[in-house]
Amino acid sequence: MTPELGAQKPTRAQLISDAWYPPPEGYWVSEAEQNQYPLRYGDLFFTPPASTSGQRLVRAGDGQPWHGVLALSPSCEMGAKAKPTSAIEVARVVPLSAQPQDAQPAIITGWQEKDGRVLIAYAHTVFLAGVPWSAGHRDGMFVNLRETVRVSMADLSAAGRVSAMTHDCRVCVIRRELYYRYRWLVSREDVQANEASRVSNDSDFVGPRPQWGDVRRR
Amino acid sequence: MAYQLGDPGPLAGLAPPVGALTSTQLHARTAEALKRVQTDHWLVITHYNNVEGYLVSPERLEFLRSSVVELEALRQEVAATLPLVLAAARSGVAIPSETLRRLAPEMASSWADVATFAATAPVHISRGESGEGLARGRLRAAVGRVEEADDDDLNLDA
Repeated sequence: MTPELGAQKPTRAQLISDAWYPPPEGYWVSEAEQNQYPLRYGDLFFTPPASTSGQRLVRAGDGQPWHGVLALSPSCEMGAKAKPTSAIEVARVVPLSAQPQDAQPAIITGWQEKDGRVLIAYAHTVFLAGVPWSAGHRDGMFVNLRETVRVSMADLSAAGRVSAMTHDCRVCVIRRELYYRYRWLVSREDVQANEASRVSNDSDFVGPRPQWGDVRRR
Repeated sequence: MAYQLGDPGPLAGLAPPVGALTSTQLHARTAEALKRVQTDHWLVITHYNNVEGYLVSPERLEFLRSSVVELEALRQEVAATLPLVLAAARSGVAIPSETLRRLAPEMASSWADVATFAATAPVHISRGESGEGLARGRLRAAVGRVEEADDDDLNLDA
């Protein structure tokens, strides 16, 4: 329907969606391209055997390795600067299917409707879409930001990367982590603008840049 | 104070006017009328049997004003949420929604369906996990290089 001339303009809040995450196909760099991407914040890894403090990274129930870990250390600490002994912060990744049926949709969206209002849901979680080419990680999963450990760079590299996160998705994870840590709800656009500024000024940046990642050219 | 849908809200406790005064009585016995209004909540003021106005205590008026503001905020939140729920119902995607569960209790979706819907349907989050108000902020990006000093010289095992 064509809006009437002089009709009230929408507000910024009405135009900007608070959606937390990209669509499933927007999470991971394609299998063919991911070798071009160095290890970064947001990348999904197989689980190393133990943390730097000696904690075995296994499930309490059956002693099996955690489903995976997500890198939370700043990207610059995982790049050229990193030594094999560098301690990298990672968060535990848990399969969605292990959660109660009614909790799963709220983990996927990051919000839930209750009494006509939309509430943040499970703020300590970050939903991750499945990685289509990874047999063990093809289904939905999530990061538990409450369960973080430090692992050595050598152990993390040896365990191997399941998938490299896209730049777009990394913005979403940063935004969600901002909310979890500080309870600030900021727009995706603002987080992306800050990330664009950071990337533009990072002389050590390696690999393909995000389309929005060079503010100096504008 | 947070109201729930279906609750009568703060107006439920609001008693109707219990007393009436003529404008002549109000003029002659103003102090008494002001005292009564503290216990009777409000008084009707009539003039030749027509209601000409109400005498309300400041506290009661403030209660009414704040109630209207809060109820209007709730109305706006509900109005903003309905399109989301209706869009999910039309798409057959089981989003996490009490309203949708009441409308279609048997609806089920794959994680990918829910994730795709959540990424594409505009949503306005209005409350925190426990229904608390949200701190919305702007993060202005200041373009410019930030120099960091070397941080390898610290003894972090002291």
